[in-house]
This record gives sequence, C-alpha cells and structure tokens, in this order.
Amino acid sequence: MRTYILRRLLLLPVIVLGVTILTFALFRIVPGDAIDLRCGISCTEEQKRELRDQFGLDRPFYVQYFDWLTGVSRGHLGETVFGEVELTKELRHRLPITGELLIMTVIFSLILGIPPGVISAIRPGTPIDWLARFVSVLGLSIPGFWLATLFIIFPVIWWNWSPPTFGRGFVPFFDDPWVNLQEFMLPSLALGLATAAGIMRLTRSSLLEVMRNDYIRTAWSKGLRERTVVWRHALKNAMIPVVTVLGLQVGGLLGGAVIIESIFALNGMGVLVLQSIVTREYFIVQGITFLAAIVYVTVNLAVDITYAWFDPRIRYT
Amino acid sequence: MAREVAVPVELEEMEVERRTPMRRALHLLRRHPLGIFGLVVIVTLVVSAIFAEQIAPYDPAAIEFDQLQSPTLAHPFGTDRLGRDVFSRVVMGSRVSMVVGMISIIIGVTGAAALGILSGFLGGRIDNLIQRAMDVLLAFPGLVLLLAIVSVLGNPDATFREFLSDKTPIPEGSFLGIPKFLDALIVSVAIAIGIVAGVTRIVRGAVLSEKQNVYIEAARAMGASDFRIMARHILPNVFALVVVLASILLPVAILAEAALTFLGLGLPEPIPSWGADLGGRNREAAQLGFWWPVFFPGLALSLVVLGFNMMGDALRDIGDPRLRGSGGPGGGGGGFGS
Repeated sequence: MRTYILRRLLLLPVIVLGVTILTFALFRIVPGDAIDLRCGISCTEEQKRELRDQFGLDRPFYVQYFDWLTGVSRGHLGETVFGEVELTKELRHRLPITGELLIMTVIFSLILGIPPGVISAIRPGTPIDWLARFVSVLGLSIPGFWLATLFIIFPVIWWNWSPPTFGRGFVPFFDDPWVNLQEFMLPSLALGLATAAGIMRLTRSSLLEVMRNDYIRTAWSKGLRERTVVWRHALKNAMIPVVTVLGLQVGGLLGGAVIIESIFALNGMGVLVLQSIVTREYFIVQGITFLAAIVYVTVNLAVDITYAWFDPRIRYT
Repeated sequence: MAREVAVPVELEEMEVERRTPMRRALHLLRRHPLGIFGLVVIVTLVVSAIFAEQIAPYDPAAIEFDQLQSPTLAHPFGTDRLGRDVFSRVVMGSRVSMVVGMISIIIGVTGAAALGILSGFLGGRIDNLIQRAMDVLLAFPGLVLLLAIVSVLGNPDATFREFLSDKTPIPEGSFLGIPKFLDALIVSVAIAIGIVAGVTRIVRGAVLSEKQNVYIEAARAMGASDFRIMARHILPNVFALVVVLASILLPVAILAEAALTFLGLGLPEPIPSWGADLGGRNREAAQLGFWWPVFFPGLALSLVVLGFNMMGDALRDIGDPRLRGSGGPGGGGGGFGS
C-alpha cells in the first residue's frame, strides 16, 4: 500500500508538469499574443516589439516557462502580461465561489444519484425502477447550459424571481447563508444533474452486481433485515465504481463550471479562465490549469486509496 | 407419440436458425421500446439534416422578420432577437450538429483506436509514453482543453488552418450545405482531440485482455508480424467495442460543439448552430421573458442527445451479452433497456 501511494505520488508532479508544458506549448504554436489583442491596430510593429521586450515575451519559450515555474515555487501562479491582474491575488475572491459551486454540485449529485439508484436496484423491473431509469437518461441528455438558461428565465416569467447574484453579486455564506444558498442552489443543480444521473445508473448496475455475491447471500441467510443487507453490506462495495467515476468527473465539473459561472454571473475561476483564453493571457490560463490538474490528480489518488476502505479485499502491492 | 413431440421441436430449431443477426437485432429492439424511441429520434434527425433546405421554410440566416415574434402559424417557433425564423434555424442546426458530431467521432475514435491498439499490444516504452500523454490530457478540465485547442487551431493565422485550406482540397466556403465549412472542420478536430484520451484507455484495456488469447500466440508462432496481428486479429476483435463507444460518444461530441459555440469560441456566425442560438443576444432577450428563441434549439439538442443515449443503451444491451439482462437475481430480468 505504502509503495503504491509513493509511486502514485511520484507520478503526480510528472502529470502536473505535463499539463503545464502542454498548455504552454499549445498557446505558443500560434502567432498572436496578448499584446496584439491589447493594442489592436493602434500600435505600430515597433511599439509592439518594445512592449514584448519590456514584458519579456520575446525571450525563448523555455526561458519563459522556467521563469513561470520559478514564480510558482515562490507562490506567484501567473499574471497578465501587463501585470495588473495577479492570479494568486485573484484566487482570494474567486476560489470560494468556484469551490462552493463544486462542493454543492457534488453533494447534489450524491443526494440525487445514490438513493434512487439503490431503490431502483433492489426493486428491479418495477414502475419505480422504470421511472428512475427514465429520469436518469433524461438527466444525462439535457445539456447543463440549456437547463441553466431555463432556470433563469422561467422563474422570472412566472414569479418574477431571479437568483440574487444578478444585482447583488456574490454573497459569502457566513454573511448571509440564505441569500448565499439561493445564489448557488440553481447553478449547482444545473451543473450536477448530469453527474447525478450518471451516478444513479452506476449505483444501480453496480449494486445489482454486488447483490449476487456469496457474502450477500450469507447476510440474507443470517436473517438480517433488507435495510442492513443493502445499506451496510452491499452498498459499501457497490460504491467503488461510483467513487471512481466521481473522481474522473472532477475534470468535467471544473470544465462545466466555466459555462455555469458565466450564465449565472458568478465571478469565479471558470469565468477568469474563459476571459484569459479569449484575451490570450497565457500565464493566467497556465496557472489555472496547473491548479486544476493538481486538484484532479490528488482527488483521483484519494479515490484509489479509498478503494481499500470500501472493499477490504483490495490490497495494493 | 414420440414423433409427435419431435415435430414441434424441429420446427422451433428451424425458427432459431432463421434468426439472422439482423432479425435478432430487430427482435431485441422490439423488446426495448426506449431504444425504438431513440431510433425514431435519430431517423428524424438524419432526415432533417439531409433535407434541411426542403424542410426549412425560410433562409436560416436571413434577417427579414420582426424581431422576437412569439410562435405563430407562419413561425411555429417564433422569430429570434435578430428577426430570423427559429424553426428554420433549428432544422438547419440539425445538419450542423450531425456533420460536426460525425466528423469529430470519426477522427477521434479512429485515432484513439489506433493509439489504444498500439499501446496495449506493443506495451513497454511505447505504452508508457502513450499512457502518460493520455494522463496529461485527462488531467485537463474537459472544456478548458477544448477551449484552448479551439482558440489555438481556430486562430486566423494558425498554420493548421493554412495547411487545411492550402494543402488539402477542403473548400474555403460552404460545403455539405454548411457555410464556413473549414471552421466547422477545425472545431471537429478539437473535439476529436478532446475525446481521444478516454477512448484510448478503454480500447487499450480491451486489447490487453484480447492479447492473452491463444490464437494470438498461434498467429505469432506462424510468423505473423506485429502489424499483421494488430490489423488482422486484434482490430476485428475490438471493433464492436469501438463502434459502441462511437455511438455513446456521438451525443457527447454534439453537446461539446453546442457548448463551445454557446461560449462564442466554436462555430462562427453564419453557421446556424443550436449552441449559437442558445447564447448571445437570444439569451439576453430570454432574461426579459422572450423564451422561445432559446427554448426550441435547446429542446432539439436535448432530444437528439436523449435519442442517442437511449439508442446507445439498447445497443449496449444487444451487443454485449455480459451487460444484457442486468435485471438482477430473481428480478425477472429485461425491462426497458439499460
């Protein structure tokens, strides 16, 4: 177990570095940079060259990359070309927004995914199973960004209500929990519905598989109640594929946050990365993908480690 | 007495023999009403994509009507913020979705199958290299990777675009009835890169288990080269899996295109994409209560994805006996797909 974790930990920086190098390379193969976009046609080539020289954009790629890397080791994740926006400072007010969005999304998808999946699996073939499966295919098919748009327009038409974010901006949870929850309720639902549907289907099929095991038959023949057999014995094992997929979904959710944040006017990391891609502020994009990759790799390592807890038969050698 | 019994048994055996794979598939589909529903949606989509010009009553790009008219007989889905007929845009959008989705899937899945087979079969250093590259791709937040690739490939000065327009016979203007086809192709390539990593993983896994079979050893003993074994033995055996993956990923690709275009980085303006209709000015209008310009394109998009998902479920049931009848122990089995 320890060697396995160690090996994975050693691989972690390799993958994270790979992500940053790929981001770096991706943006460097294209002509045109932030200077081009900022000055537009108002600058002469001469002025642009001077600006590039001043902000170090004319240096070789690898020098710029190592420069950025040294910055990261000192806690500077990256900044815009002119240096007026610094990512490490931006994080302070953007990270809580994206963080809360993602945490609530995961909570929603677990609440809406696991119980229906379990009910569907222990009563296969019944109308409730049929309904749960139909709703889950529906949930997988409705694009989150369309749902989000509907979530905004229909409450306005029907009840003249819109999320308090429009107008008030982000309200931290501890300032006003009620307003804060109103702000994050619909975005997390829109973002989490597809994940919930996926989790429901996975819980169902995985639980059905586990229920065929011998140790479940033993639990039944001991005369345990259905609730104990399902929730205590079977579900724990059935959670392995669910947790795996949830871990892999983290990347998708981070990406989905880009769309959902911009629809709901939540000024988080997603909005920043979208703006930075459009304005070619490489270093900001770079810093954000760096953070996202760390989160993704760590979550998936944690997922691997939890396997042993869910199923004690699993040992890493 | 014994003969009388034997006759119906014989008949039944003949019945079974006459069940060609095609008929078996049809029979199974009949047992999967949701699969049939999916098939109907897909057929509608394909018909609408092929005959879009004939079905659409107006030019989807023409700005010729009063803005934001609510649905009427003349405009069943109303008109949008710019005064275009929403119904015509939804119909033309089906072609755009279909073409972009198909191109992405063909490029992405073919590439992934090749990488997966190489990686799984050859193993060793090549396997390690390919898998670490896929690790890196997977560690990107999906949409951010797509956005980055699109903004890189789609750049007007990008060498990739120059290469496509100068060195290949791909037309600069409209093709297959899609204006600015080159841009659509570039977006497709980006989506293809986005799906490669996941598919490569799955194909590699299948190849690893296929490799254990004795017939591979036999082929090798007979002096078959690595390439021959991969092309003649491994590929046909993972082909069904690849097709199922393609059918599962087609709706994913369609959604990806819509999402990119919605954010303004996908297909450029004259292309009538559902994603474009969902965003921009229409969304601003929707917040003021004009719901139809965003409602109908989104509904079409959801229906198409739903159709493919249901069809995919049924296909998986039919194609992979291991997943079939997961109705559970004593649960009567079957039911409706999945």
